Amino acid sequence: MSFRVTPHRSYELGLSNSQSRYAHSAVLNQQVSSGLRINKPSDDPVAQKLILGQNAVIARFETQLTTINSSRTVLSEANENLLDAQQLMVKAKTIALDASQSVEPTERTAFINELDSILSQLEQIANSQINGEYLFSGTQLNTQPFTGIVSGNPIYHGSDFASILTIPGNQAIQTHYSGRDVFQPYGSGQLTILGNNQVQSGTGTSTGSAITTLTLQHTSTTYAVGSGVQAGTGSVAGDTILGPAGLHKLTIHDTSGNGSGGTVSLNGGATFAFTNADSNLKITGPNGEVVFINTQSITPGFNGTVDITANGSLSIDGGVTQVPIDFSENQLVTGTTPGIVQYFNTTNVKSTGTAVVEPAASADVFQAVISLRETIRNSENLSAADRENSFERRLKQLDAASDKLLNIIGKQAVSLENLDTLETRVTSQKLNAETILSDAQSTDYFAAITQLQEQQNLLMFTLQSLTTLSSVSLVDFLK
Amino acid sequence: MSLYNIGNSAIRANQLALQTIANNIANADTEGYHRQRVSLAESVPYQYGSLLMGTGVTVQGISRVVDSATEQAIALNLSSSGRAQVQLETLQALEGILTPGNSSLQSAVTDYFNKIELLASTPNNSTRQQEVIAAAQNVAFQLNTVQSQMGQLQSQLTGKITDAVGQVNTLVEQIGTIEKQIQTAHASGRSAPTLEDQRDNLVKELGKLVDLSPASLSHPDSQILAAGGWLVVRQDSPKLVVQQSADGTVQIVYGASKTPIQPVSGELAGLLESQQQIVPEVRAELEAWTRAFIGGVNKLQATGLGAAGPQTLVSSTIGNVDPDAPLAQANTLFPISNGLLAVSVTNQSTGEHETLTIAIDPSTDSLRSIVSQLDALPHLRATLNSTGQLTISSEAGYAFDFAGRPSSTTNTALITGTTVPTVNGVYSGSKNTQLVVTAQSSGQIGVTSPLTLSVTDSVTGQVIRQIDVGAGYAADQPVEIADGLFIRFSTGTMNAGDTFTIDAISDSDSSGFLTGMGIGGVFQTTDLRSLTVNPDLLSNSTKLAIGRTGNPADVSQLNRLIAFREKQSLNHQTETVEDHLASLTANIGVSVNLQQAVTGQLDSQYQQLRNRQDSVSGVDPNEELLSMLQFQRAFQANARYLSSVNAALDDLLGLLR
Repeated sequence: MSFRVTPHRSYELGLSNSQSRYAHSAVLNQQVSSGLRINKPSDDPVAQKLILGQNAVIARFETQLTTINSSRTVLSEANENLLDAQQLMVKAKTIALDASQSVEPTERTAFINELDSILSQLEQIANSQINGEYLFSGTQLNTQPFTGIVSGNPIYHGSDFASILTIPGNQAIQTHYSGRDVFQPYGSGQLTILGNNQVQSGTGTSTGSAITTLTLQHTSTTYAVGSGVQAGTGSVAGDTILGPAGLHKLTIHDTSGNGSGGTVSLNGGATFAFTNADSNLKITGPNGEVVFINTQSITPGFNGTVDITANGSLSIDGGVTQVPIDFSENQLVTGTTPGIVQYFNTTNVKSTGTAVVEPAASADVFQAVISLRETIRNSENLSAADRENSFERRLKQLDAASDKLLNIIGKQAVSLENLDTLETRVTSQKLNAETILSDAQSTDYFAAITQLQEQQNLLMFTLQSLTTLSSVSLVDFLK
Repeated sequence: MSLYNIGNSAIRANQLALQTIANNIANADTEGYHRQRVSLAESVPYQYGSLLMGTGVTVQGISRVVDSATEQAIALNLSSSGRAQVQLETLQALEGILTPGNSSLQSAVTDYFNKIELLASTPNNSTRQQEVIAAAQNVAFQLNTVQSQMGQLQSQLTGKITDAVGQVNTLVEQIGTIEKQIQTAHASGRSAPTLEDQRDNLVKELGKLVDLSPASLSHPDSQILAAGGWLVVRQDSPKLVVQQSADGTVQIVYGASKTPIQPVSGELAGLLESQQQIVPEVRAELEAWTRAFIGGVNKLQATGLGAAGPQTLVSSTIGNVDPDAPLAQANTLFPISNGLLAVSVTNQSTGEHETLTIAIDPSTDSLRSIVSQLDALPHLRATLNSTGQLTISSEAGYAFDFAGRPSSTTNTALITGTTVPTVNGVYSGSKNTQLVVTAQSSGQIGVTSPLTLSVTDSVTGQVIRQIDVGAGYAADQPVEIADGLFIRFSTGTMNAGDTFTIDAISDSDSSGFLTGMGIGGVFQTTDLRSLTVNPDLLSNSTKLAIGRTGNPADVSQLNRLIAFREKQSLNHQTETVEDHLASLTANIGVSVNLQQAVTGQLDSQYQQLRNRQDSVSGVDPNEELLSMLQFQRAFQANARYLSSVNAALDDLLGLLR
């Protein structure tokens, strides 16, 4: 049985096929005109997901490049500042070398003025900002990191923790360094004590970099019972001895036999006559130490030696905070200045006085310059030898501080290099992502135009065949 | 007169045949027309003597040339196509809504996270903070737009369902009427091919709308059953009625009993499935994505600290929670699980803060019991209003946060020495724990060598670190004791056995209570379909959570957001929130393609069936013209026969003249 196909059906099929060709042509035309192979998810769902993913990745890479650039700006600015600071340290070292040879007061004044200028510049560097944020206050971006640099009492107010830039998938990079790490690290190092050899550095870990003046002050003197001798009325203010019981000794001879008079000597020194009328008799020992005694109640007939207990206090803030001397190997002394804790060995302390305490502070940038200024100023009137030693220490401090800065500068340079590498990598990754995106998304013009031509041909063939089919009819043969 | 009768019958039969051919040619392009044929038969013979003589030709009837099986298959194909086409249109509409572009939900989410990353590099930059908030607003706008468009699509579908039901009711009535006319014609012995064509066309129209019972179609005399067999197609059939419930879902009911019916094919089935399943399922997927996205973002905002520091007043944005029901039964948008909530209360004049934790068990704790616990914390007030809205406030001079940062001071009850430990930093460990710090020996901070402290994780029981704070340790120098947590010791002493504990809080709202109650997040929503950005953030961008300490450069919370961006938390831990959104979009494309394949296949079947139908019922003008020639010749022959008979009779009558 033959399969009947009517002209009506032929036209229907022709129309349907033509519409199909035309619809396909329209899709290809859209691809060519928009340049995009995929204009809606159903065009290629898998590719659509890939496109969305790559678009997100590219946008993220662009964000990371922006982040890298802004971080590089911060780091470069910090780096420039530290290079300036390091140059200032070099300049300070030159001043130190010149000043160590100088004896002219006016020249020293000039050096001091130059150091003041350096400190002022260091203060500006340490408190430098970018976009309103401090470069060297760690995570406390809004807090001015340092005060008191020029005045010689630098205090850090920032955070101990650096700001970290984390680029996902890459290493963390420090951007805003902690000022403590850069300029003023924890720990004093070994304390050098000048001017009073009785006090030595303790074994405890001292903190703070500032040079301090240690004041050993007398507070009370007591005498072993039996002799009847007592502290004189001027003892508290006038006694210069310090020490536990027995370190100092008073020798009394009651020559009258009834306590009305005799002789007394301190630590085997010169003898002094006393009477039972003396309430504040000054006795000087062989090393110039002084005690004031009251001999009004000397035990009649006393002849012998009396152990003296002389108590005192230590202070590193000019007497504001006084710590009783305990004559131990690790005497802890703190003051009103935050962050300064110093340990002293007071086992050999014998007399009152003052001592200059210089923390090694080998990496404290500010203290290196401040200490140099103090050394040039020599307000403690150090001997020439001590002063020479002091200059040597200053030079070492300056070298150490300079090295510390160079170390940080080196770290920054590495970070900057890492950022450059990171930028190159992210740029490359972005390029790859853009290539993938383009491959997935962009129209293959050659293929699209070829297909479009094919569809046009098919459309023409469809229409032509319909025309041909309909051109023959039985009607033409009916007369 | 049989001589005339024979000729007359032949003339009449050929004339009818020619009329039928003319009708066929006239309807050659009429949609649904089936070619007709005249059925001719010999007339009943009469007996002439011993002979049976023929009496001519009889027109038995005019009938359609129909292949019933093909017609039935076409009706069923149209029904399936109707359903598939509507589903395809719905999916294409959804595809259009979700098609990504320069301004789409996908790009808005990506932009939001990118702005977060930019802010992490310059956390103190107020413009960047504003950009993040603007990006959040864009996310809310895009999501609201998508959900709104989907809502409109559902409304349009409801309208189409109502229209389709109206068409079904009209068609059923029309078919019933024609069916009655056909039955009348058949009862009187007449054929009614035109009426049958009309009926078949209407049945196909009905089939496009609802499913038809194949069994009922295969028996010409049986009544047609539609819509799963519930709808009997006849003139007096009860009407279908659309019922819409309060939640927007639509139901079609039938008859006085309001029996719900569910067509299995036809446009109505497609519309119902679109309205009840396809769109709701996509919306549900989007809501699940929204829950995951907002849940993550809001939690990190609520448990972080911005430059503005701790707050003094917060309120929940999700009301209508039964305050006395266990939280597990409260049906919160975001689940509340067994965990803790850490609250830090800060003395604003000293800056010191104390962090306390509340254990939350949703199977036993109600909102009211949590409020009581919060209210019992020092310097904190927690209240519930009549609608179940929770408000937390602090006493004057105090503020609070949920960042879970370590307390300013440690509990020194078990320290017999004189040193005072302080803890700071940001714990970056992955799990909440308690660290126990114990002195292993006695000595002086910064002096004794060694003066060792052990740090033990109380959860695992393992010693995670040992630190020496004796000689070489500078008093008040921070020493790391755990991931991101640092401890400092003042000068003083510590004795062997001295101990203290530190809460190392990684997740300060491991219960999800804050998110569940809508407290302090970036986004606010009551239904996951409509989002707004927290007005507190809009009015003060410094409230945007950057870290967990309040330090301007502490970007720990932003880094967590970035980690959240990268975490594969969805689709069985295989996709990030961005990936999943892309998958949602791509999946719609897959569904469209699948449905296009289905409609394409059905269309192909339809074309085959139409070819078959046309090969049987189609009008071929050439064929008709040939038939016309045939009947024309027959007509002419019979006319000549009558003429001859007439001439013969004339001759016969002439004999009489």
